[in-house]
Amino acid sequence: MLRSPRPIIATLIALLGASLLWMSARPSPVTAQGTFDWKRFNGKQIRFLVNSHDWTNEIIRPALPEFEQLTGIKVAWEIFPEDQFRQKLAVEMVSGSGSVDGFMSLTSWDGLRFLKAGWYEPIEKYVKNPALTSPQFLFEDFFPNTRQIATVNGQLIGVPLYPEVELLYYRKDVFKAKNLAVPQTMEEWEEAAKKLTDKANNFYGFVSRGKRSAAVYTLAPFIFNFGGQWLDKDGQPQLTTPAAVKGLDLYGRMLREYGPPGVVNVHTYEVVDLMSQGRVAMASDSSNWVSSFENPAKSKVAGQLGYARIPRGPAGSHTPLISWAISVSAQSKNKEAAWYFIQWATSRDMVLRQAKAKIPVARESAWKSHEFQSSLPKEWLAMFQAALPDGYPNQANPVVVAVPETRDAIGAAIVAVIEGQPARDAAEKAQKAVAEIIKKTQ
Amino acid sequence: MSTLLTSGRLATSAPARPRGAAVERWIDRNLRWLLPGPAVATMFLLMVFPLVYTAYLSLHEWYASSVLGPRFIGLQNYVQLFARDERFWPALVTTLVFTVGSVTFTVTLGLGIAHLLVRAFPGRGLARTLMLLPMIATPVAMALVWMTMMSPTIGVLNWLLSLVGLPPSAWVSSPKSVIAALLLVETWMWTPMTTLICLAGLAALPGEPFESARVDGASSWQVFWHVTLPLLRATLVIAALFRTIDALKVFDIVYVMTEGGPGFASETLNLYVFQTSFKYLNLGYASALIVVFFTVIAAASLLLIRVRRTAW
Repeated sequence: MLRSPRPIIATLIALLGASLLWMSARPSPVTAQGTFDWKRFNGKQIRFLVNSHDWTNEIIRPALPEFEQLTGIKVAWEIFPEDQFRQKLAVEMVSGSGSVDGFMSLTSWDGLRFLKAGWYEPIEKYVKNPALTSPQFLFEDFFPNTRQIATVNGQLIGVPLYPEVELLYYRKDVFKAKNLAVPQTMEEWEEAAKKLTDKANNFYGFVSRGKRSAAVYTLAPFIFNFGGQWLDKDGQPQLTTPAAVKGLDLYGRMLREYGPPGVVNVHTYEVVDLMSQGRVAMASDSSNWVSSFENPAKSKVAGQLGYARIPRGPAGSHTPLISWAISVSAQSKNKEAAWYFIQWATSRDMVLRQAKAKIPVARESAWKSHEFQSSLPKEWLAMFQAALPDGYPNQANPVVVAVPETRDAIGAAIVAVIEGQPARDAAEKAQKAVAEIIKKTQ
Repeated sequence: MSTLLTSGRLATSAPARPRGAAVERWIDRNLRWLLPGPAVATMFLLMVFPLVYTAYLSLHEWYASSVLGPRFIGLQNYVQLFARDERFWPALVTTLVFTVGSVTFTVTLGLGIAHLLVRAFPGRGLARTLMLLPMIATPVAMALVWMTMMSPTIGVLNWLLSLVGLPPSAWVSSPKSVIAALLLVETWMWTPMTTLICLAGLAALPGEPFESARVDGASSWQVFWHVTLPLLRATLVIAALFRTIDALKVFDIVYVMTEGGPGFASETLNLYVFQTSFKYLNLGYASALIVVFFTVIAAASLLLIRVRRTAW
């Protein structure tokens, strides 16, 4: 007698049902995340090369077990100081072994080089795919201008992590004593620097970076505010335009006349030292330094600092807007798993943790959170947020392939102008040098 | 010695293992190649190969970050370097000026201090030990300390100058004074080494020439000039040779204190090579620079060795 197949099918269906029941009943964070399948890449192993920063060390590293529990993906999180990080990443990527699944990059610095070398996996298709991106991720939550930081040559190549703009730091007490208003325009800025300089008492009106390569970043707003740009639409340098020469001239003059002696050796750390030691009335530099300045253990001027936007020129007030971003490697064999990690590391919950640790965030929800708003000076928050939409993404320097070389060439012009050379001559020399570097490397 | 031992074993084991015997005979015959073999191979791997490979790379255009491999461009890197590079010649001049200054100051001072420390006086051991300290300390840490001391706004050196009524200096923060300021640090750091070499040289000198000079009524200056110096010549050339090679490839103090700045005012060849290879990742061009740099060092060394051989 032939046995009917029906019992077998019934058994199969029953088994399937039971296993489905068992799966959904399993206590797991999946239930909290709705229907999105976080366990899809369970058992995969991924490896990230990252740059040492409070975010990599203190926010993500301790939270890795949470991710591994949520997804079942095992993560190697390899942290290196900036210079070694770039060398290590270059060696691994050039070897093409595919053992790196994701990495960080400072897009203003590395972006075009990495893109042209084909190291970035474009991630637009991951963000748009509901099977790969949790509905909770909400990329729209990132400030629009910060999404541009992670966009190189029109391609979305990663997620921005901790944005920075440039701000004007000033001594409220000194301004009050001299009965001066906070400068709103470039002219008022120079005027204030002049009035506040008291060389006999070793006190200076203004400081910013004067050291070759570093100074390019703080020169940028001077060029932008007069209406200049680093490059034109064809990617050619624009250093000899009237706006650029004017900006270079003013920057050099302010540092020469109202800056501390030896300003050509001043990097960002010296800017922070001079301000913290109470030697200068104003400083322009990255917004990042607020915690240092407000820490009474490190700063003699804690509590006396005011924060303002970089004074505007004829073209408004624009500063570079830069950030490190985290990306999927184009060589990875586990791209989806790497993307899972990135969307977790930049999820609303994780970014909120970052905000609580006073690290600036690119997500609006975390920025507006009570924790972040109450952890930093109100004025700083307001000025940062006002400067953000006017910031030029990635324009800390010309976005070219050979950034260090280009920055050295422009930096040499800045030093020359501080030393008293005419801005036009210095700009022409830099223009020629940068044009040659671009021709040679692109 | 080893040949004897091997032949002894050969005699007893030869009948039992003819094949082993053949091998041993071969080893025996070629011992003069075999024994230095590992050393020669190591030398080849660690020195000759990199040198030849660098020379080969210097004929290519190659960026480390590029997906493309090295591209052969013949001597173009060298043409660029000698004819069009605006940083190469200033870097070469800076390197030579720095080297001449460094060798002159460290050797002269080293000889003088050694002359003082060679005689017996109470506390000589302590003085000799203390004198060594600048050389023993980590150059990077010392460079950072000097940088802080030389800070024009908050540094202690300008305060000291003001105490004796001198105007403040910009030290490493002005293109005009940066080389002098770096030479000051270099001299402070490396004079102990030349002192040490000179002390060893002085201690090894025979006593008779000094005695007879004094018997003949020579003044101490005449003794120093006509007896000590000629006798110490070999020692001084060694000290100068070491210092020349070290000073030509100076890196740490310059990198830490100025990164070659202000502008490129203190950029030495070595620093330029570092920037080109590790910052700009331009390995082809950096290789060409290295080849030129290597030639400069080799030439300086040969010159000094020749000086040592020729008569005074």
